[in-house]
Amino acid sequence: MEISFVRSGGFVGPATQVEGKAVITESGGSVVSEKTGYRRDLTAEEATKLMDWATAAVSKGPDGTGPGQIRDAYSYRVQVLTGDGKNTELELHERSLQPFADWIRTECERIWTERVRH
Amino acid sequence: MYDPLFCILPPHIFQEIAKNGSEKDREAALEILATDHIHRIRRATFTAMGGLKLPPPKLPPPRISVVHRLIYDCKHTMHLPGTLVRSEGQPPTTDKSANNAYDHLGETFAFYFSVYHRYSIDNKGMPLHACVHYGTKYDNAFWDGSEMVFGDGDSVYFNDFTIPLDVTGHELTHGVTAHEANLVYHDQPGALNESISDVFGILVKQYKLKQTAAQADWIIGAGLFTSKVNGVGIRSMKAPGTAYNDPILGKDPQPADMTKFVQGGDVHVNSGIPNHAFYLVASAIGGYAWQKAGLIWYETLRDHNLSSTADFTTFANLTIQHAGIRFGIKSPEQKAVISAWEQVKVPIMPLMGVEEVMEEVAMAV
Repeated sequence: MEISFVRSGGFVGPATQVEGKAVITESGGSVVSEKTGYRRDLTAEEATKLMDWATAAVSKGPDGTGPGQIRDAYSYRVQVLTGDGKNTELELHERSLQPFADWIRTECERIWTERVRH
Repeated sequence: MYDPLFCILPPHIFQEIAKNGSEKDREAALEILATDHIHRIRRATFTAMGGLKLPPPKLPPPRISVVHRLIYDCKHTMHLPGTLVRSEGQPPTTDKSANNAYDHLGETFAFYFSVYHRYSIDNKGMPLHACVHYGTKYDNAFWDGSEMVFGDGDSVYFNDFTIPLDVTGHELTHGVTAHEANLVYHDQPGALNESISDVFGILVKQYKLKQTAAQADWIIGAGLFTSKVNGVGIRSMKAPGTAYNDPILGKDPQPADMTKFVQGGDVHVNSGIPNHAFYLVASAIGGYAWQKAGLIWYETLRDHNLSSTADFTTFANLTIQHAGIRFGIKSPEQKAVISAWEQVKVPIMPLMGVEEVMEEVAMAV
């Protein structure tokens, strides 16, 4: 499974945009962000959880929270490419409640922190 | 102003009710007074085409100004609202961010109430909530539909987001817009939504500092970047695209006119075009920008003809109309508005009575 994600929006605008990709294999996985040189290996446990969350998010679709009246919060465009070749796009927001959305948000923050550190 | 031929009960009756009535009566009277102003503007439209010049509003000073602020501490989590740390009327705490948020909410409230007689975000006295220390080193601030949320910044590139007053003014104005035109948050209406927040955010700052259009820096988020960043702020209304140019953050991507409009662009990018139009109007008119340019923009925002999906042209046309209603057809103010939109190359549709003004402006440029 491949999970590509882009964080955009925010008060500052494009300057705080973040991109990344998680690749999950049978034995684990990794997350990379080419623009920043970021790389983090996933444990087998985390990779399994991430795959389960992504699968659930794809099958359930958006949790209905939507952006609503939220302004200047980040939004997250996610593409999930599953083993059968199916590519699903999801739009997640700051208040999206799924554990998958939490993982995406947290990973984007990790990538951003790494970028700022350098 | 108080024309008895056009109303059943004149405004001074409601002012007496607001002063002497019960709390429920007071609330109702204040609401009527707040909306009465815009209805008088609408009646003036019938004679506006003949060039009726309306003087600036000379309403008596507001008698009631009650802000209700609540400041919460998220304690570096992403759980909202967090722990209440300061309520209205309480003295400053030891937390600078909480105190900044408290002060800036009050200054934004005071701006809208004093300048436009708007009673909080919803014009009905809505309490103002702010949540500080959201997340860990979070480089953002946002409006979540009912409260402001501030990150601390990473201290490497970004300072505490509670520091710049215009950030608070910007975010609370999203609430104002939601209660007025409720512009959708994508494409041109989204860029307008963002621009309106930048406009009134910067006006809150200029009002606080008592700066004229010529004295102001017109920089959104000045003070937000650390000294490590090659930039003066997040956006420049005076010169879109020049606010920053940094190896890590990139270059300010804002266009200054429609020739550089970004199709499908982030709402914070194309907002540079209406932002620049406002700067041009304010600079051409001179003086304090909130008095005339800001008033035109505010009355346009409150116009029921401004739909939630309005594009730049629709908004521009309405600003031209309101400039004519407020200051007169062919007034310097209306000419300044027409010229500004032409300079940023937003197409404007000739309105009855305005074609001649547009010709004069075009010949002068």
